[in-house]
Amino acid sequence: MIKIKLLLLICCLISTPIFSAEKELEKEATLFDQTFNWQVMAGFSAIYNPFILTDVKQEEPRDFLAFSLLVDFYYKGFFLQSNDRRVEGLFQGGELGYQLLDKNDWALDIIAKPYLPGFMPDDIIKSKNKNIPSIEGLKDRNIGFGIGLRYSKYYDDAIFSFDLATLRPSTGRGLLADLYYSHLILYRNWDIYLGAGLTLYSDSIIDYYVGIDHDEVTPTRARYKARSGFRSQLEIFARHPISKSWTFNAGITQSYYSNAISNSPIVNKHNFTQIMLGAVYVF
Amino acid sequence: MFFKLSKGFALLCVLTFGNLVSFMVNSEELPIATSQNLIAQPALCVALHQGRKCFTKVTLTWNVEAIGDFCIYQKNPRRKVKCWQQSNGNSTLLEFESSEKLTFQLVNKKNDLIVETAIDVSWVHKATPRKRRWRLF
Repeated sequence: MIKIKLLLLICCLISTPIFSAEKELEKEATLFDQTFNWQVMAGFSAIYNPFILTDVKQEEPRDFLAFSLLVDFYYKGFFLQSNDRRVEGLFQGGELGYQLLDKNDWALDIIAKPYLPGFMPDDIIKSKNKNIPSIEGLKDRNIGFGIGLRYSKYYDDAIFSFDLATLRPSTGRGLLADLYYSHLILYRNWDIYLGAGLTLYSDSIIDYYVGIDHDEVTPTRARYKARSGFRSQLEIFARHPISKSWTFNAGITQSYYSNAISNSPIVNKHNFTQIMLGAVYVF
Repeated sequence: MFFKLSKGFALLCVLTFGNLVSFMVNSEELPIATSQNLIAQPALCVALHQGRKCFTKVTLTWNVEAIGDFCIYQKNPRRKVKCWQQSNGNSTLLEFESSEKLTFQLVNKKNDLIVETAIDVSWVHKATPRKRRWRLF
């Protein structure tokens, strides 16, 4: 037993400095002339993120807090990247993709990602512990996973990207086009991003998410057949280092939903403001 | 039970020594006060990304035993920061702006090096070849 303990002690003494030293090594390594790199982050944030669904309010303390694990991985053109500006983590902001073309100032990727969040009315009602007639009896809306092509154009301090994607059949089998422009302003140790986005949705996608089927009609919820529509967004995001492992992040997004979305009896609103304040730990 | 205790001991051992060594590796060494000091506070500037210029306000404080004329210079490239006449200690506020570690030297009237200190530059995110695009919500 003493020998085992001694062996463990020696292992601890030897392995810990090695681990510490490895942490200091390059996170990037060249393998077979291809680049491999990774990064893991954990984030927590305070968020003001009103639900798009009418009558569903952000009320409980947990509605205002978000924790996330963010993973970035790249190997031989394949990548998994999570949105470290977002707070929901890997499955709400993550992208799995393959780099088809990568030039100096533009790139073409094939992407698989959740383009739209789903919702489960029964679970929302249970979690809120009260009746919400506007969503009661609605069928679940699945997360809008899609596969798309992304063209990205890089400028010195800006990026423009265009996604053309199709969502999986269970979420409407529709097309989605997403245009996004982000401009980076460097001010001392701050990174400040100004962004503008426009997402166009085909009618089947909007109808799946906010349309009301015959079997979902109630006295207070009329039948709604949606047309194609769009969402436009403006955002400001700022990031500042706190230490070698922590960053402070803050952002505000203003979204506008077109009539096809906002006329739905379960939405009934054009404008949404979302605010996020948080910190991210980089491992 | 015996095995569980061994595992527990091993875990405790890993955590204890891990933390101890990590503390020894990561903690900034506190300057030891001697008769001749040049201290930069803070001595570390953290940028968001590797290779990016780091900005911070640094207080350089110095003291020596004998009164005289002294200057603080930035080393590589050499640049005068500030000089004092007939003093044995003072401080100055410096606008630090660099993507790499800079050394500062306290020299006397004959240009002899008395003592030096450095301000290190670190970063949160390592430079990555992959460009990214994200929106907030």
